[in-house]
Amino acid sequence: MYVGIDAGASATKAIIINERGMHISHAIVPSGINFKFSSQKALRKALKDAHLNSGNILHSVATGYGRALIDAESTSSEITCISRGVHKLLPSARTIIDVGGQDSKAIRINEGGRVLNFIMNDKCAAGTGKFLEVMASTLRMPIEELGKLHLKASNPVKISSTCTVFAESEVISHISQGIKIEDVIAGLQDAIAERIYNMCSRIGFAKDFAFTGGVAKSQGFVEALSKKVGAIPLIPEEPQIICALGAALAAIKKHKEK
Amino acid sequence: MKIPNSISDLWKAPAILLSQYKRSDLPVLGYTCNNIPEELIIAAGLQPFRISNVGANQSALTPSFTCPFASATLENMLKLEEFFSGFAIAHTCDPMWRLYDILKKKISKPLFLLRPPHNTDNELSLSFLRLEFNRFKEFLDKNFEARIDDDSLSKSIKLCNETRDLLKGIYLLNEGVNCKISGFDRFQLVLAGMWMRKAELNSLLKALVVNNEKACDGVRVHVNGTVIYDLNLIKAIGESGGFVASDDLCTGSRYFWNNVEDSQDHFSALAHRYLKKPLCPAQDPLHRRLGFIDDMVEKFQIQGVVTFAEKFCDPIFFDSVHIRNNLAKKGIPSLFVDYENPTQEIGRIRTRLEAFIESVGGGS
Ligand SMILES: Nc1ncnc2c1ncn2[C@@H]1O[C@H](COP(=O)(O)OP(=O)(O)OP(=O)(O)O)[C@@H](O)[C@H]1O
Ligand SMILES: [Mg+2]
Repeated sequence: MYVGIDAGASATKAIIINERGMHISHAIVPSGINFKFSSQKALRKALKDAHLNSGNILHSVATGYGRALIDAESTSSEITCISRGVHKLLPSARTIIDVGGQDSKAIRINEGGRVLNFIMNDKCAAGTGKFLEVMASTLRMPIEELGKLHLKASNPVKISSTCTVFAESEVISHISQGIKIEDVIAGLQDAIAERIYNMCSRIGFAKDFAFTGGVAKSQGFVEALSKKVGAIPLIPEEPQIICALGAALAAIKKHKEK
Repeated sequence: MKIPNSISDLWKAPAILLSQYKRSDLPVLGYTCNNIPEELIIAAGLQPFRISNVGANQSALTPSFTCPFASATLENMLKLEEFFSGFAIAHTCDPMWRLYDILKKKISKPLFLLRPPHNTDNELSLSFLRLEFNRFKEFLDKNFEARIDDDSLSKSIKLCNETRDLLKGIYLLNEGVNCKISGFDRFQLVLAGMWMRKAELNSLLKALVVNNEKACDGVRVHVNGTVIYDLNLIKAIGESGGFVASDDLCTGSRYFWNNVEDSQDHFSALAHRYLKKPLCPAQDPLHRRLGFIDDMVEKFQIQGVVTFAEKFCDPIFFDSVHIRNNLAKKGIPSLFVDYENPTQEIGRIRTRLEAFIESVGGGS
């Protein structure tokens, strides 16, 4: 069995695959402040679900923000892992947008899954999952609710601040003016989608774009992004573990090279 | 190749040398930029010392849109004033020029502003720079009781040419697909050239032993961009699976790439050297800069180019687009890395570098 661990800024993902790259099990746990701990926890959970133990692991590869801090035989960058993972599941994709907890990335790949170009926003929480987390907590609702409520919006407000801190006060002021919560939420997600779209435009959209990362689970956000791009993204069944999948696929390759 | 102890890690605290110079009563002239002719400083009996941003925070005296590099350099000049007998600044980009006005008010040491022409491609610029160098000579003569003459200048030109030859010789060891010296070590040697006494450095460089083993491995990278004294950036490329085989930085190859020719008229020869050296992004014409990168890419068999751009460094931000497009036409991938404080941001910088180097090396 092969393991990929993606120690992301907000969630740690572990995946176990077989030698043909087929998914066996996976686990997602919060990263917290200790990547070593969260990665062990995620791996233990994934092993347990698959009724396996660590003795079954032939090779493991770590990726993500905390990749250097966890136990794995080798590391690989997120950009390469996301590309590899997407290429395996959605071979027609040529542009990938990944929106995680701390940063957002846009990647162009070729027909072989090789990275041609990429761009990252990693300096500011606006335009990332963190922004949504902050807003969900401001609105006192679980993050999953945001995506659902968005779909009910009829008249999204315009959020003008692209800064998390300022946007938060803007949200509060909209709510206190009696604007419907779903319209505020839709406005928020539109604002992030716009930011991500602008970033991605800098490397250009190729046909068939895939959307990965935890934020791709928000239906409302997917809708906002589709509207901006003018196309519906390809989304894997579990978009949050694609980077981990890419790492596990790298583990197969590394094991063969040994 | 093992870097001499006196050079190893000098980049982290070059000011150590300043206290040594002070103890031995060697007067030091601090300068900010590659366009200041060290030859004249040495001929005047002073030790040239290029002032970096290392170890300084941004100065509160500069506006918030100033590049952090210029601002921290100012801070170092103020902080280290006691070690210097005087300063020379060159007006390349505007922030460097404006430091002059601030320093005039803040320090009591002699201060010179050199105005290298921005257009480097015509005779007028050559005559102008020649006159500027004369003005610099007069400044040195007057303030430091020096008497720069043909003889002293001829000697200092020889000395500086020798340093440049030695540095270039080491640099060229990595030509083609060779990697005899790591990018990190090579940068350490070049920076030492801007801080140490030339004669001492030259003998150290001559004594370096080059063995035939491969010093480094990985994707061959050319580095372009802002002034880089923080070698953690270069190290990060090495640690991400790359090998910095060449560069066109002013703290790298631009410092030593060409020499002052032997001539009756030293000032013309100096002007020629400084005008025809590989260009700073604040100078014109662009095609010469692009051409130099193209040459390096070919000479050093470069697989990918990394541009490091310090926030608010307008010249490099404008340049980077041309550089990227020019390289793309030739099928050479490039990466643009912007940052404000490399020490604090090294994690995210590394993520980009790793991804880029993996993609260039076919890591997918
Ligand atoms: N159902 C959901 N609806 C909306 N957002 C969600 C949902 N589930 C997760 N998220 C968002 O996904 C983010 C985490 O995604 P992911 O695991 O891809 O990030 P990460 O890899 O930890 O971060 P990074 O890649 O920036 O280091 C959280 O910030 C959260 O906002
Ligand atoms: Mg992630």
